[in-house]
Amino acid sequence: MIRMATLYLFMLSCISSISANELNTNDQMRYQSLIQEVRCLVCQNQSVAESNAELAKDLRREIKLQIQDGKSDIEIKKYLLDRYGEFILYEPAFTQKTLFLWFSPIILLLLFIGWFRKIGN
Amino acid sequence: MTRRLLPLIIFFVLMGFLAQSLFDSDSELPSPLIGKSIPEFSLENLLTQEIHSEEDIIGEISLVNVWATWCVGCEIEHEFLVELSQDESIDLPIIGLNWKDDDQLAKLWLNQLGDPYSIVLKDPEGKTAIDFGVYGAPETFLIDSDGIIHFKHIGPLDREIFERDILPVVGELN
Amino acid sequence: MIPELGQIFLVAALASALLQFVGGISPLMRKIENIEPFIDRITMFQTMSLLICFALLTTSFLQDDFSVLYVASNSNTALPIGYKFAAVWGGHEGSLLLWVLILSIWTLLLSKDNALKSSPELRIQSLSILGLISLGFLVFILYTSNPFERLFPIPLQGRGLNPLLQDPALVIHPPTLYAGYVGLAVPFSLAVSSLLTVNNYEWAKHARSWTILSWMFLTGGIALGSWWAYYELGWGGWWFWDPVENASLMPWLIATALMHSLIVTEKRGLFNGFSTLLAITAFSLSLLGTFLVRSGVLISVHSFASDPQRGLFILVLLAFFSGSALMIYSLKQKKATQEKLHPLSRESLLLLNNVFLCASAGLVLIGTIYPLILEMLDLGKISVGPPYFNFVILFPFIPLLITIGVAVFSNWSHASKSLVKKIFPIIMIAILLSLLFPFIYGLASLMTMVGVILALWTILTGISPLIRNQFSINKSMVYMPMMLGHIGLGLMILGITVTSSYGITFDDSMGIEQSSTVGDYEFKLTEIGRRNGPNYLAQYASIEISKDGEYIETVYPEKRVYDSSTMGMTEAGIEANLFRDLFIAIGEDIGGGSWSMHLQYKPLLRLIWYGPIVMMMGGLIRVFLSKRSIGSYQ
Repeated sequence: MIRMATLYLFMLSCISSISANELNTNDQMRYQSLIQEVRCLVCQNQSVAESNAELAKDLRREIKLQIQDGKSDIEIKKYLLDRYGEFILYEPAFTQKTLFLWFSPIILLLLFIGWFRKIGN
Repeated sequence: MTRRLLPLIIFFVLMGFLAQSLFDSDSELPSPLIGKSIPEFSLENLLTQEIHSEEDIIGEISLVNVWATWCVGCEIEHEFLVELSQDESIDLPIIGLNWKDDDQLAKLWLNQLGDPYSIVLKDPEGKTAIDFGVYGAPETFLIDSDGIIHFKHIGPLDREIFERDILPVVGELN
Repeated sequence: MIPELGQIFLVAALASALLQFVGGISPLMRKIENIEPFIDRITMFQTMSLLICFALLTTSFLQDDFSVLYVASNSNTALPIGYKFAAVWGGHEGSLLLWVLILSIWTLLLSKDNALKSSPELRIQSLSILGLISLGFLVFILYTSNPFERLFPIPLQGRGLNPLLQDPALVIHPPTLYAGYVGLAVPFSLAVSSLLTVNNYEWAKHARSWTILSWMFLTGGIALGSWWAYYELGWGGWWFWDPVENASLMPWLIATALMHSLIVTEKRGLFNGFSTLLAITAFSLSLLGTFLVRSGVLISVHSFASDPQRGLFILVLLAFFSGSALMIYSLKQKKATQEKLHPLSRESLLLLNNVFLCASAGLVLIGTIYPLILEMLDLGKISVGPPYFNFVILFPFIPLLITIGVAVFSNWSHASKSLVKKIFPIIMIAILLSLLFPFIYGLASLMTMVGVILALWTILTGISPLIRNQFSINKSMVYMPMMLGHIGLGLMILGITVTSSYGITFDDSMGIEQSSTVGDYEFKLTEIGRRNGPNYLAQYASIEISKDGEYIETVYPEKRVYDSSTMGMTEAGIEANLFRDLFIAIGEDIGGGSWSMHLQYKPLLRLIWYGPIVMMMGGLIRVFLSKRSIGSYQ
C-alpha cells in the first residue's frame, strides 16, 4: 500500500505539461546537445539530460521553451550563467583563469615531445 | 639528478593541493546575482490571489525566503523565521516565495506552523526561482530598499547564521 | 561471535603483513637462513586470513546480521540473495577488505612465480614491499574502516543496498576493476625493489606478465563499468569523464605505456628509467583513484560516502608509498647509457607512443583536478566536463593512433627500409574503406572521417602480420597479442566514432497504440502496466520495434521505486545486435494517456565494449605465450 502510494507520488512528480516532441529535427538535436552540457546542480555530477531531479526537469523545460522561442545556444547559456554562475556549464569558459586548462594539450605535447627528443638523442 | 627530482616535486605539489582541498570543502554555489537587482516577475499571492510584480516588494530592506512544504530544511528553519518575524527589535520583513508547491498544503502549513511572511508569492512552475538562481530550498536572499541583492544563504537559516552573516550587512545598508 | 572472529583474523593478517615486510626489508634479514620459505608461508597465511575475514563478512550478510554496522548500512532482509553476496563490497569498508584481499592474492601468486625465484634478492624485496603496502591498508582498515564494527541497539531492518547497485554487473565490475588497480602494485614493487637491490633492468622481464595481467583486468573493469552505466543509468550514456571514471582511465593509460616500455627494457635494456617511473606512476595513480573515490574532494555518482578523515589517511599512504618510491628513484636510478636511436626505429616509436599515452593521462589529470585548484585559489567554482575532455583528448590520441600503425612495421634499432612502401597501401585501403561509412550511414563531418580512417588504419595495421604470413595463424601466433590488442583498440575507436557521429536521440510523446520514428526504426507503444518486483514496484511500458514495417522485438522499459529508497530508477528497454543498439527509456507522464519517451538509435555501439574484450584476449595470449616461452617477439 505504501509502495503504491510512493510509486504514485513519484509518477505524479513526473507530470509535466510539456514534452519535447514539439521540436523539429534541428531543434531536437540542439536540445539534446544542450541538455548534456548543462549540469544538474542538485546531483552528484550528472547533466540535466540524465537526471530525474525536479530542478533538472525544470531546466530542461526552460531550455526547450527558449529553443522554441528562437533563442540561440549562446543566449540560452548566458541565461543560465547569469543566474547560476559558471558552475552550471560543463564546458569551462575560455578566460584568464582557464588559460592553462585550455592550452594544456599543446603545452603537454610540446613538453613531452621535447623530452622525447632529448632521450632519443 | 634534477631531472630525476622533477616527478617527486610535481608529486608533492599535487599532494599539497589535495590535502588542502580536503579541509577546504565548501559545497555552496556562489551566486552571480549578488549586487544585481532582483529579477522581474509576475506572481500570484498565495492567500489573496492578487498578482504582484517585483516592484511590490521593493521599498525596504527585507529577506526573500524560498520555501516549500516538501522541503525538510524549510520545516527546520521555519520556527526561527516565525521568531524573527515577531522580533520587534528587528524590522526586517520576510517575503515568502513558495516554490513548486501545492496551494492547499502550503496554506495548511502556514496555519499549523505559523506565518512569518509579510506576503507569500507562489511559483508553482519554478520559473521565477530559476531567475533567482535557486537550486535547493531553503534559500534566503537579503535585498536592500532598491531591490539589489546583497547576500544569499543556502540552507536552513538559524539565529547563529543570521547574526553572523545577515545582521552585519543589514547594519551597513542602514 | 562471527564479527569478532573477523576482527581476530584481520589482526592476524596485519601481523603477517608486518612479518612479511620485515622479513625482506634489508640485506641483513635476507641473509637469515630459511627466510625465503618463511616469507612464502607468511604470504600464504596472510591470504588465508583475509579469505576467512571475507567469508565471515559474507556470512554476516547472508544471515542478515544487522548487529554489524556495515551489514545494516548496506543490506536488508528483502535484498535478493545474489545481491547480498555482492553487497559485501557495496560500501567503503567492505570494498577496502576486498582491496587488501586481492592484494594478498597477487602477492601469493608472485611468490609462486618460478622465474622470479632465480633472482632471490629481487624477489624477497618485492614481497617485502607488497607486505608493507598491505600493512598500510590493514592499519587503515582497523583504525578507520572496520567492516566488523558492531551496531547497538540492533535495528530490526537494514538500510538496504543502493538501487543503482542492485544489478548483476555489481558482482563482477568492482572485483575486476580492483584486480587491475591492485595488480599494478606488483610491477611497482618489482621496480622499486630493483632500485634497492640489484639496480639493473632484470626486473622488466619479470614485471611484464604481471603488468599485462593487471592491464587486462583494468581494461575489463573499465569496459564493464561503461557498459553498466549505459544500461543502468537510463539515458544511454557510456562515458561521462566523471572523476571516478577518470581515476580508472589514468592508470590504464599509464599501464598501457608501461606494458610497451617493458618490451624495450626487457629486449634491449633501454628506457629502464622510464619504465621504472611508469611502474611507480601506474600504482600511484591507483592509489590516487582510491583517494578520490573516498575522500569527498570531488563530486561523483560513484563516490563512496565521503569522509575527510579517511581521505587524509589514504593521502598519507599515497604520499608515503609514491613519495618514497619517487625519492628512491631520484637517488638510485642510474643515468641511461646514451645510445643513438633512429627516430623511426621500434624503440623510438614505442617511446613516442608512450609519450602520447602519458600526455593523455596528464590531460585527464589536469581536467579532473582543475576545479579543485581554482576553488582553493578562491577563483570560484567551475565545472570541467565532457565538452572539454572530448575535445582535448583528440590532441594526443590522433598522433597516437597514427604512430601505433607505423610502429607495427618498424624494426629494432634502425628504420625499416621500405617503411613508406609498406604503409602506403594500407593508408589507401583505410581511406577507401572509410568511404563506405558515409555511404551506409549518411553525410559525415571531417572529424568523423578522421576517426573512421584512424580506426581502420589501426585495425588494418594490426592485421598486417597475418597477411604477411599468408594467413598462417601458426606463423603469426607470436604476433597475435599485438594484433588482437591493436585490432581491439581500432574496433573501440570505430564504435566511438560512429556512434557519436551517427547516433540519434529523440524525445517524443506517445499514447497507447501510437508510434514514433527514429531513423529507419519504428517504436510503437502498446501497453502501460504495473508489476511487482522482489523489492520494488515498477511501472512498465511495452514497446514494439519494427524496421521498414517488419517486426523486430518488444522491449519493456520501466520506472521503478524501491522499498528501501525514495529514489526512482529508470530501467531502459534495449534491443541490440552487433550493428546497432535501440535504447528506450520512459520519460514523463504528460497526461491524457500520453507519455514522453526517450528514444535512441546508436550504430556500432557494442564495438565500444567488444573492442576491449579483443584487447584483453591479446593480453591473455601474451601471458600464455610467455609461459610456454615461445620466445618473445614483443
